[in-house]
Amino acid sequence: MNAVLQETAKASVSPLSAQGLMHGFDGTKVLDGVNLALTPGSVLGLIGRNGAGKSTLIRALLGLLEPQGGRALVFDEPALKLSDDAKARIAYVPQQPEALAWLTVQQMLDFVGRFYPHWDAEFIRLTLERWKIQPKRLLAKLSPGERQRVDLLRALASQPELLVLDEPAAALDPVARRELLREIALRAGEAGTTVLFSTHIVSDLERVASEVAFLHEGKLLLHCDVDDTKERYGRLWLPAKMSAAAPAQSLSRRRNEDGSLSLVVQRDAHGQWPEAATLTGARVDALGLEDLFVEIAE
Amino acid sequence: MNAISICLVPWRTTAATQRWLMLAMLALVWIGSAVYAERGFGDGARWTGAILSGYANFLAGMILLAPTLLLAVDARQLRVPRMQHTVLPGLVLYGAMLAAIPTILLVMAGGEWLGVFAIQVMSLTIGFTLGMLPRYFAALLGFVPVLLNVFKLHFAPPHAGNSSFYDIVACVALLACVSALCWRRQLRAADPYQQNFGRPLVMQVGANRHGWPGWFVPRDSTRQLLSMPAWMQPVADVSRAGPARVAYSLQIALGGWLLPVTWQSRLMRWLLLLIPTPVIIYLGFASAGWSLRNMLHALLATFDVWVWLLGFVGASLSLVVMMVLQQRWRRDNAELALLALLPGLGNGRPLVWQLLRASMQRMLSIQAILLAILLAVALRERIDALSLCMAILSQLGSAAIVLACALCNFGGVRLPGWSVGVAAGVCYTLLGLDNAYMPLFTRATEPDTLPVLVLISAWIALILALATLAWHGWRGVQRRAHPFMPV
Repeated sequence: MNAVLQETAKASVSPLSAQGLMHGFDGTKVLDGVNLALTPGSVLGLIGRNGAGKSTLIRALLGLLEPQGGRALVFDEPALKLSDDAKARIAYVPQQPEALAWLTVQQMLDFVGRFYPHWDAEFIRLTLERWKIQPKRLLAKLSPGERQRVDLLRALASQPELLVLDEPAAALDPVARRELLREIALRAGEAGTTVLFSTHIVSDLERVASEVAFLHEGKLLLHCDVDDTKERYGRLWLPAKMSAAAPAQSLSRRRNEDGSLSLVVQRDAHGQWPEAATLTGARVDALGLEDLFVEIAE
Repeated sequence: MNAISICLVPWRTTAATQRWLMLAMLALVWIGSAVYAERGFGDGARWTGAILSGYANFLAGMILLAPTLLLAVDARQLRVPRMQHTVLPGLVLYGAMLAAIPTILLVMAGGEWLGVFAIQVMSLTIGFTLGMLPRYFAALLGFVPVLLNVFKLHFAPPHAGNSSFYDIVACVALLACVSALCWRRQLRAADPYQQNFGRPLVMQVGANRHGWPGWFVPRDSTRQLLSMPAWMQPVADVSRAGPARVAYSLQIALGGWLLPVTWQSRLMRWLLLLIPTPVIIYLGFASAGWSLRNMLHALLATFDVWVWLLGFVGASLSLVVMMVLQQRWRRDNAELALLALLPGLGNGRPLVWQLLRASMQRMLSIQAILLAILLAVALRERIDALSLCMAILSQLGSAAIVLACALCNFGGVRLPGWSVGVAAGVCYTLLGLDNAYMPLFTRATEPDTLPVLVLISAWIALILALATLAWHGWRGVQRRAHPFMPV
């Protein structure tokens, strides 16, 4: 009975969460009070412009840097003091993997595999064959794309419960990218792996993510289901003479050359647009994920 | 092409610090040589002055003139109009100036212009050619003292028309041809920036692009791997890695000199060390007048000296380890991220202890053996207690460098990038001075107490400074949640 209860509690714990994360470099704020919690089994796409702080957020979430404020938890343990048990359940692939360049592909996988209890050597053998990567090649001599694929392989072979990928498709060709996304979807769907991946390629996110989080200038502007975004967010256009009626709360606000206002607004708890949307002359346009991203990030 | 562009060539090929330090060194050596040539005794002093200036010009050829190749390659690759045509005239102009200035100074001091000029041109050409050749040719620098020793027996000052003068002319012509071939090959290579074992020394050091382009900044180990042929690459032995052997696994993850390799790979390393042996034997024979007995006698007579040189080996090992640790703790997304999330390595103080073991165990073992040899020879020679103390302190100082550096990295105390260079400078200077005052070197029956005491104080001061640094590092270690965060 106790074991069942423990398993249930384990399953309901957020694999990765942050409260008020703050960090900066050389006086510049990179993370500004980020709150985030991943739902078990979800695939969260973290999106933001270059330099928005995605990599820093991921590093802080995993305890790879000490944030200046706030705290991060991984499987309910402080990210900076993870137990071996928690570490065995995580896999992380950095943006440009550079580790262990002095080992061959086979040596690196053999070395890392010795530390994981559920290492899948067969998956490695088959995938290396399918991806046509020579196991005896030195990591230093692989192209950036091949290097990223080998690191993805390393991450997937440990059969993690939480997979964190920092711009995983950045160096991949379209075929490899599609294959990676398929693998992510498969892992999440069949094995219940929770995935967090950062990207600025919206189409990748639409293809596999169940949730999306927008990071802009160190702040998490929104975090919701991907399917909800079209329904929940819209662009409110107000002619110049009505700009005084613009709602105070909006995700972005831009004044056009003719004096009119464009705002990204969201429905309230009752599913209603802000009051200004009902004014004569005002217009609400549905926004696709990419348009929403551009509107917010511009 | 205009005169200003030609004059600006060194400004476009060298960093400001590099340029000004070289110019200051050249000015000092040129003036010093001229003063020595004028005030020294006889013709010999003038030729010594010319050779001293020549040594400075050798460095200028390598550090100031050879980097013009970088500009030539960049100009060609980027298709910058007209720039390609300014490089060679700039090279010739500054080469001529570097040869002419010391010649004028030495002629004013009474030297013979043609001979002095020939030595300056030859020195510049040797330096420049070394910059054009692959970096393994730089190992020849180690043979310079022996080569000078050998050639001085056969060397006559190069007067106009004598055979030495024509030897120099022939040597310059040969080196100029070699340089031209290397220059042309690199310039026209399909990918002149490609990392390979055969690329010119100047391309290797120029590729670092740090403040002091490359010459004194340690090369990243990944870059080193890229430029190594496959048969020279170390083969790691990962068969014994795992949570049961944390220190061993950490050594694999830290790589570089700490990487545990297979016995075949270790054997290959030793074989590589044997490559220069025939050259050493040849030079040894030549300097001993081709007599085996003389050579063996010379080896036995200088045996103690070789033993003392082991001190340098110990210090060099420390610096190599320091360099590896500095490189690993500066990269965000490489080994640190992997190690921070690798299960089975443990946490807290036991992990730091394993890290220290991984970083220092092999180095300390070798240093202990070196120290034992050193002490055995010192006892056989019955050297005094102060000298013995100096020898022990030098080994302790070398080990303390790594301890301080390791704890600073683990504890997040940032050491500047040039700290390896400074540590090397201080350590080698003190070791050099140690050797100069050792009874084994000076063959004095009674060592000069005051300089030895000063040296002992300097070593103690260095060790205390390193201990303070290590203490700061240790406090950082206790403050930090785990050691795998970049500094």
